[in-house]
Amino acid sequence: MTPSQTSFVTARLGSNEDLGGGCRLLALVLPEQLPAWDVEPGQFVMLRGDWGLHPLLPRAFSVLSAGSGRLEILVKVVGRGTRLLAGQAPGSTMTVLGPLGRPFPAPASGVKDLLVAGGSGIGPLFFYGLRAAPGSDLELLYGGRSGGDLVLAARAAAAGLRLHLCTEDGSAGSRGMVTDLLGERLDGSGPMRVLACGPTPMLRAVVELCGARGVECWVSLETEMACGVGLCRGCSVAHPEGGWRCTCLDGAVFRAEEVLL
Amino acid sequence: MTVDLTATVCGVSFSTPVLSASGTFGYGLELHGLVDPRRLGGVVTKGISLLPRPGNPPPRICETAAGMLNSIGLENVGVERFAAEKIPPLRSLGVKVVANFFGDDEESYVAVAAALDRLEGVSTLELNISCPNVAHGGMRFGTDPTLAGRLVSACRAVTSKPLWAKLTPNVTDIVAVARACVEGGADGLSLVNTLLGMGVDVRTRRPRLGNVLGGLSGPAIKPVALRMVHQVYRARLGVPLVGIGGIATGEDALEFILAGAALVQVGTASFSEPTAMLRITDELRLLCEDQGVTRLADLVGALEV
Repeated sequence: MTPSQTSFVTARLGSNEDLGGGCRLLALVLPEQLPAWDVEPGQFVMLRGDWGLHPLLPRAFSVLSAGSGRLEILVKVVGRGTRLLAGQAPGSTMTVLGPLGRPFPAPASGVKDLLVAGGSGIGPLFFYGLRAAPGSDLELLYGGRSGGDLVLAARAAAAGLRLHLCTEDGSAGSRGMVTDLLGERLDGSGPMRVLACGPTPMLRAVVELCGARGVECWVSLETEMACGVGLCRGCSVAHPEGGWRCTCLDGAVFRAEEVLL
Repeated sequence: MTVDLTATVCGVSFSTPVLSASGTFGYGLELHGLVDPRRLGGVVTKGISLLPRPGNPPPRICETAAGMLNSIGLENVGVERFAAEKIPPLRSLGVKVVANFFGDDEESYVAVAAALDRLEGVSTLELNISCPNVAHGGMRFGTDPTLAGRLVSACRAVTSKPLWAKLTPNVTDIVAVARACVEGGADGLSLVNTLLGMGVDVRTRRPRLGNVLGGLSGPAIKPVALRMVHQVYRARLGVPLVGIGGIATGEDALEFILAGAALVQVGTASFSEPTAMLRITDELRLLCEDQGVTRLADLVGALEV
Protein backbone atom coordinates (compact mmCIF):
# COMPACT_ATOMS: atom_id res chain seq x y z
CA MET A 1 0.00 0.00 0.00
CA THR A 2 1.24 3.48 -0.77
CA PRO A 3 2.13 5.59 2.25
CA SER A 4 -0.91 7.63 3.23
CA GLN A 5 0.69 10.91 2.23
CA THR A 6 1.55 9.80 -1.33
CA SER A 7 -0.54 11.94 -3.63
CA PHE A 8 -1.10 12.27 -7.33
CA VAL A 9 -1.74 15.92 -8.03
CA THR A 10 -1.62 18.56 -10.72
CA ALA A 11 0.92 21.21 -9.81
CA ARG A 12 1.60 24.58 -11.40
CA LEU A 13 5.06 25.54 -12.52
CA GLY A 14 5.97 28.59 -10.46
CA SER A 15 9.31 29.29 -12.10
CA ASN A 16 11.76 27.69 -14.49
CA GLU A 17 15.30 28.97 -14.12
CA ASP A 18 18.24 28.26 -16.41
CA LEU A 19 21.20 27.18 -14.29
CA GLY A 20 23.55 26.64 -17.22
CA GLY A 21 25.23 23.31 -17.86
CA GLY A 22 22.02 22.03 -19.49
CA CYS A 23 20.23 22.21 -16.15
CA ARG A 24 17.04 23.95 -15.09
CA LEU A 25 15.58 24.54 -11.68
CA LEU A 26 11.83 23.98 -11.71
CA ALA A 27 9.78 25.27 -8.79
CA LEU A 28 6.39 23.58 -8.55
CA VAL A 29 3.46 24.97 -6.64
CA LEU A 30 1.35 22.20 -5.15
CA PRO A 31 -2.43 22.50 -4.87
CA GLU A 32 -3.45 24.47 -1.78
CA GLN A 33 -5.91 21.94 -0.43
CA LEU A 34 -3.17 19.32 -0.24
CA PRO A 35 -1.84 18.44 3.23
CA ALA A 36 1.77 19.54 3.49
CA TRP A 37 4.15 17.02 1.97
CA ASP A 38 6.68 15.81 4.46
CA VAL A 39 9.40 15.14 1.92
CA GLU A 40 12.70 13.76 3.19
CA PRO A 41 16.05 14.20 1.41
CA GLY A 42 16.57 11.36 -1.05
CA GLN A 43 12.90 10.95 -1.84
CA PHE A 44 11.68 11.51 -5.37
CA VAL A 45 8.62 12.43 -7.41
CA MET A 46 7.33 11.31 -10.80
CA LEU A 47 6.75 14.31 -13.08
CA ARG A 48 4.90 14.58 -16.34
CA GLY A 49 3.86 17.61 -18.34
CA ASP A 50 0.74 17.93 -20.45
CA TRP A 51 2.34 17.05 -23.79
CA GLY A 52 0.33 14.21 -25.25
CA LEU A 53 1.54 10.66 -25.75
CA HIS A 54 5.26 11.01 -26.48
CA PRO A 55 6.91 10.42 -24.15
CA LEU A 56 4.26 8.45 -22.40
CA LEU A 57 5.88 7.90 -19.03
CA PRO A 58 6.56 10.37 -16.25
CA ARG A 59 10.15 11.08 -15.19
CA ALA A 60 11.61 10.44 -11.75
CA PHE A 61 13.38 13.35 -10.02
CA SER A 62 14.92 13.67 -6.59
CA VAL A 63 13.52 16.57 -4.66
CA LEU A 64 15.91 19.51 -4.34
CA SER A 65 13.93 21.33 -1.70
CA ALA A 66 10.41 21.24 -0.33
CA GLY A 67 8.25 23.33 1.94
CA SER A 68 5.31 25.73 2.07
CA GLY A 69 3.48 23.99 -0.75
CA ARG A 70 6.46 24.25 -3.08
CA LEU A 71 8.74 21.66 -4.50
CA GLU A 72 12.02 22.33 -6.30
CA ILE A 73 13.45 19.95 -8.86
CA LEU A 74 16.77 20.00 -10.70
CA VAL A 75 16.31 18.88 -14.29
CA LYS A 76 19.25 18.02 -16.50
CA VAL A 77 18.29 17.77 -20.14
CA VAL A 78 19.33 14.35 -21.46
CA GLY A 79 16.52 13.39 -23.85
CA ARG A 80 13.09 14.18 -25.16
CA GLY A 81 11.26 13.97 -21.83
CA THR A 82 13.65 16.20 -19.92
CA ARG A 83 13.83 18.63 -22.87
CA LEU A 84 10.04 18.98 -22.81
CA LEU A 85 10.06 19.44 -19.04
CA ALA A 86 12.81 22.03 -19.27
CA GLY A 87 10.81 23.91 -21.89
CA GLN A 88 7.66 24.26 -19.77
CA ALA A 89 6.65 27.86 -19.19
CA PRO A 90 5.81 29.19 -15.73
CA GLY A 91 2.08 28.79 -15.20
CA SER A 92 1.89 25.50 -17.10
CA THR A 93 0.69 22.44 -15.23
CA MET A 94 2.19 19.03 -14.69
CA THR A 95 1.25 15.94 -12.75
CA VAL A 96 3.28 15.03 -9.67
CA LEU A 97 3.20 11.66 -7.93
CA GLY A 98 4.99 11.59 -4.61
CA PRO A 99 6.77 11.79 -2.35
CA LEU A 100 8.19 8.37 -3.14
CA GLY A 101 10.97 6.05 -2.10
CA ARG A 102 13.31 5.57 0.80
CA PRO A 103 15.20 8.69 1.90
CA PHE A 104 18.77 9.05 3.08
CA PRO A 105 19.19 8.20 6.77
CA ALA A 106 18.82 11.17 9.10
CA PRO A 107 22.00 12.80 10.42
CA ALA A 108 23.40 10.95 13.42
CA SER A 109 25.06 12.82 16.26
CA GLY A 110 28.79 12.33 16.51
CA VAL A 111 29.02 11.02 12.94
CA LYS A 112 30.43 13.20 10.18
CA ASP A 113 28.47 13.04 6.94
CA LEU A 114 30.47 13.24 3.73
CA LEU A 115 28.08 14.11 0.91
CA VAL A 116 29.52 13.12 -2.47
CA ALA A 117 27.79 14.64 -5.49
CA GLY A 118 28.63 14.09 -9.13
CA GLY A 119 27.14 16.58 -11.61
CA SER A 120 23.34 16.66 -11.51
CA GLY A 121 23.46 14.13 -8.66
CA ILE A 122 23.72 17.16 -6.39
CA GLY A 123 19.92 17.38 -5.95
CA PRO A 124 19.18 15.07 -3.00
CA LEU A 125 22.47 15.92 -1.26
CA PHE A 126 21.85 19.65 -1.49
CA PHE A 127 18.46 18.96 0.11
CA TYR A 128 20.14 16.85 2.81
CA GLY A 129 22.54 19.68 3.56
CA LEU A 130 19.71 22.22 3.75
CA ARG A 131 17.71 20.04 6.10
CA ALA A 132 20.55 19.14 8.46
CA ALA A 133 20.50 21.12 11.68
CA PRO A 134 22.79 24.17 11.76
CA GLY A 135 26.19 23.16 13.03
CA SER A 136 25.80 19.56 11.81
CA ASP A 137 29.09 17.97 10.98
CA LEU A 138 28.89 17.56 7.23
CA GLU A 139 30.89 18.37 4.14
CA LEU A 140 29.65 18.49 0.57
CA LEU A 141 32.13 17.22 -2.02
CA TYR A 142 30.85 18.36 -5.39
CA GLY A 143 32.49 17.33 -8.63
CA GLY A 144 31.93 17.65 -12.35
CA ARG A 145 33.74 17.68 -15.65
CA SER A 146 34.07 21.47 -15.58
CA GLY A 147 32.90 24.44 -13.54
CA GLY A 148 29.75 24.83 -15.65
CA ASP A 149 28.53 21.45 -14.39
CA LEU A 150 28.53 22.61 -10.77
CA VAL A 151 25.24 24.40 -11.20
CA LEU A 152 24.34 24.59 -7.53
CA ALA A 153 27.77 25.57 -6.19
CA ALA A 154 26.80 29.19 -5.49
CA ARG A 155 23.55 28.17 -3.83
CA ALA A 156 25.28 25.60 -1.68
CA ALA A 157 27.85 28.17 -0.57
CA ALA A 158 25.12 30.72 0.12
CA ALA A 159 23.30 28.15 2.24
CA GLY A 160 26.40 27.92 4.40
CA LEU A 161 27.30 24.34 3.51
CA ARG A 162 30.92 23.32 3.92
CA LEU A 163 31.68 22.88 0.28
CA HIS A 164 34.62 21.45 -1.65
CA LEU A 165 34.53 21.65 -5.42
CA CYS A 166 36.54 19.74 -7.94
CA THR A 167 36.51 19.48 -11.71
CA GLU A 168 38.22 17.17 -14.15
CA ASP A 169 39.52 20.17 -16.14
CA GLY A 170 40.45 22.21 -13.09
CA SER A 171 38.16 25.11 -14.09
CA ALA A 172 36.60 25.21 -10.61
CA GLY A 173 37.93 23.96 -7.29
CA SER A 174 40.69 21.40 -7.29
CA ARG A 175 41.57 19.42 -10.39
CA GLY A 176 40.58 15.78 -10.34
CA MET A 177 37.73 13.47 -9.47
CA VAL A 178 35.36 13.90 -6.57
CA THR A 179 36.49 10.51 -5.36
CA ASP A 180 39.99 11.97 -4.89
CA LEU A 181 38.49 14.45 -2.41
CA LEU A 182 36.62 11.63 -0.72
CA GLY A 183 39.71 9.46 -0.42
CA GLU A 184 41.61 12.22 1.39
CA ARG A 185 38.80 12.69 3.89
CA LEU A 186 38.24 9.00 4.50
CA ASP A 187 41.82 8.84 5.71
CA GLY A 188 40.90 11.26 8.50
CA SER A 189 39.84 10.22 11.96
CA GLY A 190 36.49 9.94 13.72
CA PRO A 191 33.23 8.22 12.81
CA MET A 192 32.15 8.99 9.25
CA ARG A 193 29.34 8.15 6.90
CA VAL A 194 29.17 8.69 3.15
CA LEU A 195 26.05 9.64 1.19
CA ALA A 196 26.48 9.74 -2.58
CA CYS A 197 24.59 10.49 -5.76
CA GLY A 198 25.96 10.76 -9.27
CA PRO A 199 26.92 8.73 -12.34
CA THR A 200 27.22 4.98 -11.80
CA PRO A 201 31.03 4.82 -12.37
CA MET A 202 31.43 7.47 -9.65
CA LEU A 203 29.15 5.56 -7.29
CA ARG A 204 31.10 2.37 -7.92
CA ALA A 205 34.32 4.14 -6.98
CA VAL A 206 32.72 5.66 -3.87
CA VAL A 207 31.40 2.29 -2.72
CA GLU A 208 34.82 0.73 -3.26
CA LEU A 209 36.61 3.44 -1.29
CA CYS A 210 34.17 3.13 1.61
CA GLY A 211 34.18 -0.66 1.53
CA ALA A 212 37.96 -0.77 1.75
CA ARG A 213 37.84 1.37 4.89
CA GLY A 214 34.71 -0.09 6.42
CA VAL A 215 32.87 3.24 6.23
CA GLU A 216 29.08 3.19 6.09
CA CYS A 217 27.93 4.26 2.64
CA TRP A 218 24.55 5.07 1.09
CA VAL A 219 23.92 5.68 -2.60
CA SER A 220 20.98 7.22 -4.43
CA LEU A 221 20.39 5.45 -7.75
CA GLU A 222 18.79 6.39 -11.02
CA THR A 223 17.28 3.76 -13.35
CA GLU A 224 14.69 3.57 -16.09
CA MET A 225 11.37 3.68 -14.27
CA ALA A 226 7.77 3.57 -15.48
CA CYS A 227 5.49 3.91 -12.47
CA GLY A 228 7.60 4.84 -9.42
CA VAL A 229 5.42 2.79 -7.07
CA GLY A 230 6.33 -0.88 -7.60
CA LEU A 231 3.66 -1.79 -10.12
CA CYS A 232 5.78 -2.32 -13.22
CA ARG A 233 8.89 -3.93 -11.68
CA GLY A 234 10.84 -2.17 -14.40
CA CYS A 235 13.47 -0.40 -12.28
CA SER A 236 15.32 -3.45 -11.00
CA VAL A 237 18.89 -3.38 -9.70
CA ALA A 238 20.95 -6.42 -8.82
CA HIS A 239 21.27 -7.54 -5.21
CA PRO A 240 24.62 -9.00 -4.13
CA GLU A 241 22.98 -12.21 -2.93
CA GLY A 242 21.09 -12.69 -6.19
CA GLY A 243 17.75 -11.48 -7.41
CA TRP A 244 16.67 -7.91 -7.90
CA ARG A 245 15.50 -4.93 -5.94
CA CYS A 246 13.17 -2.18 -7.14
CA THR A 247 14.80 1.24 -7.24
CA CYS A 248 11.42 2.88 -6.61
CA LEU A 249 10.32 0.87 -3.56
CA ASP A 250 13.54 -0.46 -2.05
CA GLY A 251 15.49 2.74 -2.96
CA ALA A 252 16.15 5.05 -4.57
CA VAL A 253 18.59 5.33 -1.61
CA PHE A 254 20.31 2.02 -0.88
CA ARG A 255 22.98 0.95 1.53
CA ALA A 256 26.04 0.13 -0.51
CA GLU A 257 25.82 -3.53 0.56
CA GLU A 258 22.31 -3.85 -0.85
CA VAL A 259 23.14 -3.32 -4.52
CA LEU A 260 25.58 -4.45 -7.17
CA LEU A 261 26.39 -1.41 -9.27
CA MET B 1 -29.78 9.66 -15.72
CA THR B 2 -28.13 6.65 -14.15
CA VAL B 3 -26.08 4.37 -16.32
CA ASP B 4 -25.74 0.67 -15.54
CA LEU B 5 -22.05 -0.16 -16.07
CA THR B 6 -22.20 -3.71 -14.69
CA ALA B 7 -20.97 -6.55 -16.83
CA THR B 8 -21.66 -10.22 -16.19
CA VAL B 9 -18.99 -12.37 -17.76
CA CYS B 10 -18.94 -16.17 -17.41
CA GLY B 11 -21.43 -15.88 -14.55
CA VAL B 12 -19.26 -13.41 -12.63
CA SER B 13 -20.67 -9.94 -12.07
CA PHE B 14 -18.26 -7.01 -12.46
CA SER B 15 -19.40 -3.63 -11.11
CA THR B 16 -17.78 -1.83 -14.05
CA PRO B 17 -16.19 -3.15 -17.24
CA VAL B 18 -12.82 -1.55 -16.40
CA LEU B 19 -10.23 -3.92 -14.94
CA SER B 20 -6.51 -3.59 -14.36
CA ALA B 21 -4.34 -5.51 -16.84
CA SER B 22 -1.99 -8.15 -15.50
CA GLY B 23 1.47 -6.90 -14.63
CA THR B 24 0.46 -3.26 -14.40
CA PHE B 25 -1.33 -3.08 -11.06
CA GLY B 26 0.74 -5.42 -8.91
CA TYR B 27 -1.39 -7.60 -6.67
CA GLY B 28 -4.11 -4.98 -6.38
CA LEU B 29 -3.30 -3.17 -3.14
CA GLU B 30 -0.01 -1.41 -3.86
CA LEU B 31 -1.81 1.82 -4.73
CA HIS B 32 -4.68 1.48 -2.29
CA GLY B 33 -4.06 4.98 -0.89
CA LEU B 34 -4.67 6.43 -4.35
CA VAL B 35 -6.89 3.89 -6.11
CA ASP B 36 -9.37 1.87 -4.08
CA PRO B 37 -9.51 -1.42 -6.00
CA ARG B 38 -13.17 -1.79 -5.02
CA ARG B 39 -13.93 1.07 -7.40
CA LEU B 40 -12.58 -0.99 -10.30
CA GLY B 41 -14.53 -3.67 -12.10
CA GLY B 42 -11.81 -6.00 -10.95
CA VAL B 43 -8.12 -6.54 -10.52
CA VAL B 44 -6.21 -8.88 -12.80
CA THR B 45 -3.15 -9.83 -10.77
CA LYS B 46 0.44 -10.15 -11.82
CA GLY B 47 1.04 -13.45 -13.59
CA ILE B 48 1.46 -16.21 -11.00
CA SER B 49 3.72 -19.21 -11.41
CA LEU B 50 4.18 -22.33 -9.31
CA LEU B 51 7.47 -21.08 -7.84
CA PRO B 52 8.58 -17.47 -7.32
CA ARG B 53 10.43 -15.91 -10.26
CA PRO B 54 12.98 -13.12 -10.00
CA GLY B 55 12.39 -11.71 -13.51
CA ASN B 56 14.84 -10.62 -16.21
CA PRO B 57 18.08 -8.60 -15.98
CA PRO B 58 17.78 -4.81 -16.40
CA PRO B 59 17.17 -2.64 -18.24
CA ARG B 60 13.65 -4.00 -18.25
CA ILE B 61 11.80 -1.09 -19.79
CA CYS B 62 12.32 1.60 -22.38
CA GLU B 63 10.10 4.14 -24.03
CA THR B 64 8.93 4.34 -27.59
CA ALA B 65 6.63 6.79 -29.34
CA ALA B 66 3.23 6.59 -27.61
CA GLY B 67 4.24 3.40 -25.88
CA MET B 68 6.81 1.44 -23.95
CA LEU B 69 8.72 -1.79 -24.25
CA ASN B 70 9.12 -4.14 -21.32
CA SER B 71 10.98 -7.33 -20.64
CA ILE B 72 10.09 -7.76 -16.98
CA GLY B 73 10.10 -11.53 -17.30
CA LEU B 74 7.07 -12.42 -15.17
CA GLU B 75 8.64 -11.58 -11.81
CA ASN B 76 6.20 -12.82 -9.17
CA VAL B 77 5.96 -14.23 -5.65
CA GLY B 78 4.77 -17.70 -6.65
CA VAL B 79 1.40 -19.27 -5.97
CA GLU B 80 2.08 -20.18 -2.33
CA ARG B 81 2.82 -16.61 -1.20
CA PHE B 82 0.12 -15.33 -3.52
CA ALA B 83 -2.42 -17.48 -1.67
CA ALA B 84 -1.07 -16.72 1.79
CA GLU B 85 -0.30 -12.99 1.51
CA LYS B 86 -1.93 -11.40 -1.50
CA ILE B 87 -5.40 -12.93 -1.65
CA PRO B 88 -6.65 -12.59 1.97
CA PRO B 89 -6.62 -8.75 2.09
CA LEU B 90 -8.23 -8.54 -1.35
CA ARG B 91 -10.85 -11.01 -0.26
CA SER B 92 -11.66 -9.19 2.95
CA LEU B 93 -12.07 -5.93 1.01
CA GLY B 94 -14.35 -7.66 -1.47
CA VAL B 95 -12.23 -6.92 -4.54
CA LYS B 96 -13.13 -8.92 -7.64
CA VAL B 97 -9.96 -10.82 -8.45
CA VAL B 98 -8.92 -12.40 -11.72
CA ALA B 99 -5.74 -14.43 -11.23
CA ASN B 100 -3.43 -14.42 -14.23
CA PHE B 101 -1.14 -17.47 -14.31
CA PHE B 102 1.50 -19.21 -16.38
CA GLY B 103 4.00 -22.06 -16.36
CA ASP B 104 7.13 -23.31 -18.07
CA ASP B 105 5.40 -26.38 -19.43
CA GLU B 106 1.97 -28.00 -19.44
CA GLU B 107 2.54 -29.69 -16.11
CA SER B 108 3.40 -26.48 -14.26
CA TYR B 109 0.55 -24.57 -15.91
CA VAL B 110 -1.85 -27.24 -14.68
CA ALA B 111 -0.36 -27.24 -11.18
CA VAL B 112 -0.90 -23.47 -10.80
CA ALA B 113 -4.41 -23.70 -12.22
CA ALA B 114 -5.25 -26.41 -9.68
CA ALA B 115 -3.80 -24.37 -6.81
CA LEU B 116 -5.70 -21.23 -7.88
CA ASP B 117 -8.90 -23.23 -8.27
CA ARG B 118 -8.88 -23.90 -4.52
CA LEU B 119 -8.56 -20.22 -3.63
CA GLU B 120 -11.64 -18.51 -2.28
CA GLY B 121 -11.46 -14.91 -3.35
CA VAL B 122 -10.34 -15.66 -6.91
CA SER B 123 -13.32 -15.25 -9.23
CA THR B 124 -11.73 -16.13 -12.54
CA LEU B 125 -8.48 -17.52 -13.94
CA GLU B 126 -6.67 -15.89 -16.83
CA LEU B 127 -4.32 -18.25 -18.62
CA ASN B 128 -1.28 -16.40 -19.97
CA ILE B 129 -0.18 -18.01 -23.21
CA SER B 130 1.17 -14.79 -24.55
CA CYS B 131 4.16 -13.45 -22.64
CA PRO B 132 6.96 -12.60 -25.10
CA ASN B 133 9.63 -12.30 -22.40
CA VAL B 134 10.33 -15.80 -21.16
CA ALA B 135 12.24 -18.59 -22.83
CA HIS B 136 9.71 -21.28 -22.02
CA GLY B 137 5.97 -21.25 -21.71
CA GLY B 138 4.15 -18.06 -22.54
CA MET B 139 4.03 -17.12 -26.17
CA ARG B 140 5.24 -20.49 -27.44
CA PHE B 141 1.83 -21.87 -26.53
CA GLY B 142 -0.08 -18.87 -27.78
CA THR B 143 1.29 -18.87 -31.31
CA ASP B 144 0.38 -22.50 -32.09
CA PRO B 145 -3.36 -23.25 -32.15
CA THR B 146 -2.82 -26.95 -31.42
CA LEU B 147 -0.58 -26.32 -28.39
CA ALA B 148 -2.90 -23.56 -27.19
CA GLY B 149 -6.00 -25.73 -27.39
CA ARG B 150 -4.29 -28.61 -25.62
CA LEU B 151 -3.02 -26.40 -22.81
CA VAL B 152 -6.41 -24.78 -22.27
CA SER B 153 -8.00 -28.20 -22.17
CA ALA B 154 -5.48 -29.47 -19.60
CA CYS B 155 -6.09 -26.45 -17.34
CA ARG B 156 -9.83 -26.67 -17.92
CA ALA B 157 -9.77 -30.15 -16.44
CA VAL B 158 -8.50 -28.94 -13.05
CA THR B 159 -10.66 -25.89 -12.42
CA SER B 160 -14.33 -25.18 -12.13
CA LYS B 161 -13.73 -21.43 -12.09
CA PRO B 162 -14.24 -19.43 -15.28
CA LEU B 163 -11.11 -19.69 -17.43
CA TRP B 164 -10.04 -16.94 -19.80
CA ALA B 165 -7.16 -17.42 -22.24
CA LYS B 166 -5.02 -14.31 -22.81
CA LEU B 167 -3.85 -14.26 -26.40
CA THR B 168 -0.77 -12.88 -28.07
CA PRO B 169 -1.08 -10.55 -31.05
CA ASN B 170 2.14 -11.99 -32.48
CA VAL B 171 0.32 -14.32 -34.86
CA THR B 172 -0.93 -14.04 -38.42
CA ASP B 173 -4.35 -15.56 -37.66
CA ILE B 174 -5.72 -14.55 -34.26
CA VAL B 175 -9.05 -16.27 -34.96
CA ALA B 176 -7.39 -19.67 -35.39
CA VAL B 177 -5.77 -19.46 -31.93
CA ALA B 178 -8.96 -18.05 -30.41
CA ARG B 179 -11.04 -20.86 -31.85
CA ALA B 180 -8.59 -23.51 -30.62
CA CYS B 181 -8.76 -22.05 -27.10
CA VAL B 182 -12.56 -22.08 -27.11
CA GLU B 183 -12.59 -25.65 -28.40
CA GLY B 184 -10.19 -26.50 -25.59
CA GLY B 185 -12.70 -25.17 -23.08
CA ALA B 186 -11.89 -21.48 -22.55
CA ASP B 187 -14.88 -19.58 -21.13
CA GLY B 188 -13.54 -16.22 -22.28
CA LEU B 189 -10.72 -14.67 -24.28
CA SER B 190 -8.53 -11.71 -23.28
CA LEU B 191 -6.90 -9.98 -26.17
CA VAL B 192 -4.24 -8.84 -26.56
CA ASN B 193 -0.92 -9.11 -24.74
CA THR B 194 2.06 -7.03 -25.91
CA LEU B 195 3.48 -6.91 -29.41
CA LEU B 196 7.02 -8.21 -29.71
CA GLY B 197 9.45 -5.37 -30.35
CA MET B 198 12.88 -3.95 -29.63
CA GLY B 199 14.80 -0.72 -29.26
CA VAL B 200 18.41 0.18 -30.01
CA ASP B 201 20.61 2.70 -28.21
CA VAL B 202 22.63 4.29 -31.01
CA ARG B 203 25.27 5.65 -28.64
CA THR B 204 26.15 2.40 -26.91
CA ARG B 205 25.12 0.35 -30.00
CA ARG B 206 23.38 -2.03 -27.66
CA PRO B 207 19.76 -3.15 -27.35
CA ARG B 208 17.80 -0.91 -25.02
CA LEU B 209 16.44 -3.92 -23.13
CA GLY B 210 18.55 -6.40 -21.18
CA ASN B 211 16.54 -9.20 -22.73
CA VAL B 212 17.06 -7.68 -26.25
CA LEU B 213 13.40 -8.23 -27.21
CA GLY B 214 10.40 -7.03 -25.27
CA GLY B 215 6.69 -6.39 -25.40
CA LEU B 216 5.28 -3.15 -26.78
CA SER B 217 2.29 -1.68 -24.94
CA GLY B 218 0.47 1.62 -24.70
CA PRO B 219 -1.57 3.71 -27.13
CA ALA B 220 0.78 2.70 -29.97
CA ILE B 221 -0.79 -0.78 -30.10
CA LYS B 222 -4.46 0.17 -29.76
CA PRO B 223 -5.46 -0.14 -33.44
CA VAL B 224 -3.90 -3.61 -33.66
CA ALA B 225 -5.63 -4.79 -30.49
CA LEU B 226 -8.94 -3.34 -31.57
CA ARG B 227 -8.70 -5.03 -34.95
CA MET B 228 -8.10 -8.40 -33.26
CA VAL B 229 -11.08 -8.00 -30.90
CA HIS B 230 -13.19 -7.15 -33.93
CA GLN B 231 -12.00 -10.18 -35.91
CA VAL B 232 -12.53 -12.60 -33.03
CA TYR B 233 -15.94 -11.16 -32.19
CA ARG B 234 -16.97 -11.51 -35.82
CA ALA B 235 -15.96 -15.18 -35.75
CA ARG B 236 -18.83 -15.77 -33.28
CA LEU B 237 -17.03 -18.23 -31.07
CA GLY B 238 -19.68 -17.95 -28.38
CA VAL B 239 -17.50 -16.69 -25.50
CA PRO B 240 -17.15 -13.20 -24.03
CA LEU B 241 -14.12 -11.10 -24.97
CA VAL B 242 -11.92 -8.90 -22.80
CA GLY B 243 -10.31 -6.04 -24.74
CA ILE B 244 -6.76 -4.96 -23.88
CA GLY B 245 -4.25 -2.75 -25.66
CA GLY B 246 -3.47 0.92 -25.24
CA ILE B 247 -6.73 1.92 -23.57
CA ALA B 248 -6.22 5.34 -21.99
CA THR B 249 -9.60 7.09 -22.28
CA GLY B 250 -13.28 6.25 -21.95
CA GLU B 251 -13.55 6.61 -25.70
CA ASP B 252 -10.81 4.02 -26.20
CA ALA B 253 -12.69 1.64 -23.89
CA LEU B 254 -15.94 2.20 -25.76
CA GLU B 255 -14.25 1.45 -29.08
CA PHE B 256 -13.32 -1.98 -27.75
CA ILE B 257 -16.80 -2.53 -26.29
CA LEU B 258 -18.44 -1.64 -29.60
CA ALA B 259 -16.05 -4.01 -31.36
CA GLY B 260 -17.25 -6.82 -29.09
CA ALA B 261 -15.44 -6.65 -25.73
CA ALA B 262 -17.63 -7.25 -22.68
CA LEU B 263 -14.81 -6.03 -20.40
CA VAL B 264 -11.66 -4.02 -20.92
CA GLN B 265 -8.34 -3.99 -19.14
CA VAL B 266 -6.16 -0.92 -18.64
CA GLY B 267 -2.41 -1.37 -18.30
CA THR B 268 0.28 1.07 -19.35
CA ALA B 269 -1.99 4.08 -18.75
CA SER B 270 -1.78 3.40 -15.01
CA PHE B 271 1.99 3.98 -15.10
CA SER B 272 1.74 7.57 -16.25
CA GLU B 273 -1.49 8.25 -14.37
CA PRO B 274 -2.16 5.98 -11.37
CA THR B 275 -5.82 7.00 -11.27
CA ALA B 276 -6.37 6.41 -15.01
CA MET B 277 -8.84 3.53 -14.51
CA LEU B 278 -11.13 5.66 -12.37
CA ARG B 279 -11.07 8.47 -14.93
CA ILE B 280 -11.74 6.03 -17.78
CA THR B 281 -14.74 4.64 -15.87
CA ASP B 282 -16.13 8.14 -15.35
CA GLU B 283 -15.59 8.97 -19.02
CA LEU B 284 -17.40 5.78 -20.06
CA ARG B 285 -20.36 6.76 -17.89
CA LEU B 286 -20.43 10.25 -19.43
CA LEU B 287 -20.25 8.85 -22.96
CA CYS B 288 -23.25 6.66 -22.21
CA GLU B 289 -25.16 9.62 -20.80
CA ASP B 290 -24.35 11.70 -23.86
CA GLN B 291 -25.68 8.96 -26.11
CA GLY B 292 -28.75 8.21 -23.99
CA VAL B 293 -27.50 4.71 -23.21
CA THR B 294 -28.77 3.42 -19.86
CA ARG B 295 -27.07 0.04 -19.95
CA LEU B 296 -23.49 -0.16 -21.21
CA ALA B 297 -23.76 -3.92 -21.80
CA ASP B 298 -26.20 -3.13 -24.63
CA LEU B 299 -23.31 -1.64 -26.59
CA VAL B 300 -21.17 -4.78 -26.60
CA GLY B 301 -20.61 -5.65 -30.24
CA ALA B 302 -22.89 -2.83 -31.42
CA LEU B 303 -20.41 -1.83 -34.11
CA GLU B 304 -22.14 -1.24 -37.41
CA VAL B 305 -20.02 -2.33 -40.35
